[in-house]
Amino acid sequence: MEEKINAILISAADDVATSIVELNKGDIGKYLKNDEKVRVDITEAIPKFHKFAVRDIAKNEYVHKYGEVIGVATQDICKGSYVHEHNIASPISGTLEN
Amino acid sequence: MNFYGYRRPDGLIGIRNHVLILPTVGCANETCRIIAGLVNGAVSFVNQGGCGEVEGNKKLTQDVLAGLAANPNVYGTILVGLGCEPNCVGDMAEIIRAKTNKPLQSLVIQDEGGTVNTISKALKLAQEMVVAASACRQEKFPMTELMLGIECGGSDATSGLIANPVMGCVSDRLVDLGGTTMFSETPEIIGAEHILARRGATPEVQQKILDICVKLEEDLRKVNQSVRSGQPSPGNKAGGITTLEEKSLGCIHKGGTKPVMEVVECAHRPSKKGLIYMDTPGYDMLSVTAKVAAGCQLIVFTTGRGNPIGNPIVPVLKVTANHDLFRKMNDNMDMDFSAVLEGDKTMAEMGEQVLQEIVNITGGKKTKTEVFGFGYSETVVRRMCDYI
Repeated sequence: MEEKINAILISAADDVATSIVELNKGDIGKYLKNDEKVRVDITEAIPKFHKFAVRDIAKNEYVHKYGEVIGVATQDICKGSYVHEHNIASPISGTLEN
Repeated sequence: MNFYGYRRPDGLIGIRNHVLILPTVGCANETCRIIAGLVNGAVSFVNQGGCGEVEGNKKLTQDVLAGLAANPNVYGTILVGLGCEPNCVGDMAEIIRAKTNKPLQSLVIQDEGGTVNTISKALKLAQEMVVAASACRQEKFPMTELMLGIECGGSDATSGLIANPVMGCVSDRLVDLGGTTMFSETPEIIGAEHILARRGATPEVQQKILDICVKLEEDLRKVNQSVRSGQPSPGNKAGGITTLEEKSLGCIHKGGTKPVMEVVECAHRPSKKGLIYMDTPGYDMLSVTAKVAAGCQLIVFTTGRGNPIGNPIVPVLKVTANHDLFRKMNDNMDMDFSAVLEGDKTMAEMGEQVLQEIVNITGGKKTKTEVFGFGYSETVVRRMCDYI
């Protein structure tokens, strides 16, 4: 049976996907990447329309959505975990050197 | 791919065939409303300006009025003035004539001797113009002759996630077909202006994108406002938006991924095809008006919370990826993108469907805003300062 997706990856180059339902620890995030379904183990609660990492992101790495930089990781972020203000910041106003 | 349109004598292609009853000053609004109301095929709109304006505002008014008359969806225009306004019928006619050779008539209420005489004369002129317009036949034209305006308003989380990216696919496709798409709303690009600027086709375009943002922030500072402070708002953050870059990218993504060929002033017609950025405020009625004045034949308007506004001259197609909204405000909404949210369609597939719907609309299919006849009081002109 065809499984429904529960997240959206806007650009194939993105580091984060956006959940379209509330996800919980142990759920599997499912989104399309270049028309292929990708599955990610969700490690913590993700509210509806919030983001989770689709790869491991190291501290100080850029975080991409829409194929562009939306922020910089302020700590290491594991694949499948929640991405929001607590672990990324604006690359201009953020907490890095600039 | 082709669309259906009417060839105008100035070479542009319209997808509607309106006769425009144009008040050159607010004092002529009610007279114009009565004229347009009595003639099937005529439209009018509320003009708040034309008098009591500083020169800069007068110019902004004239840009919009002339642009509306020159929009290819208009067959011809009847100017109605009062007689003592700085934006007099003679000046307005001259400005319109410099843009287009379409049919144009003028009436002045003070010269005609009041509302009744003006209406009586205008009705005959409008009737003749509508009959002549109705003799025009639609033909097929390549998409190179289409200029699509893309607007977003009343956004929710689905707007930046689905509706705007789908419109980005539409924009990219239309540009690939040789057509033109225009997006605007400068307050909403702030935060991602460096990203948009990188997409400028020339160093001049890149610099212009940065300059208009600096200018907007300077203007707002004069009235003790900032577009950056407090952004993203607590509501945005609760909705899942983390940084201003992310919020602004959600807005600019409706313009797709092609190079920005030109940055035009508010209500100005571009000189290039492809993706065009227009410098406008974010106020939807104003930025829709400005895009229509620039010559867009059709507007697609993305929303998540719902929005009813239209335009007297162009169809405004309302699209959303919020299925609940689509059901709840169905009489205001034209297309539901929620199949993308469900994974049943890709963004590119939905984009193709939008492009097909655009062709259907050019062929005469009505948008919900057109069915209601919306737009009469929704024409808004940019202001640089108070009236005098």
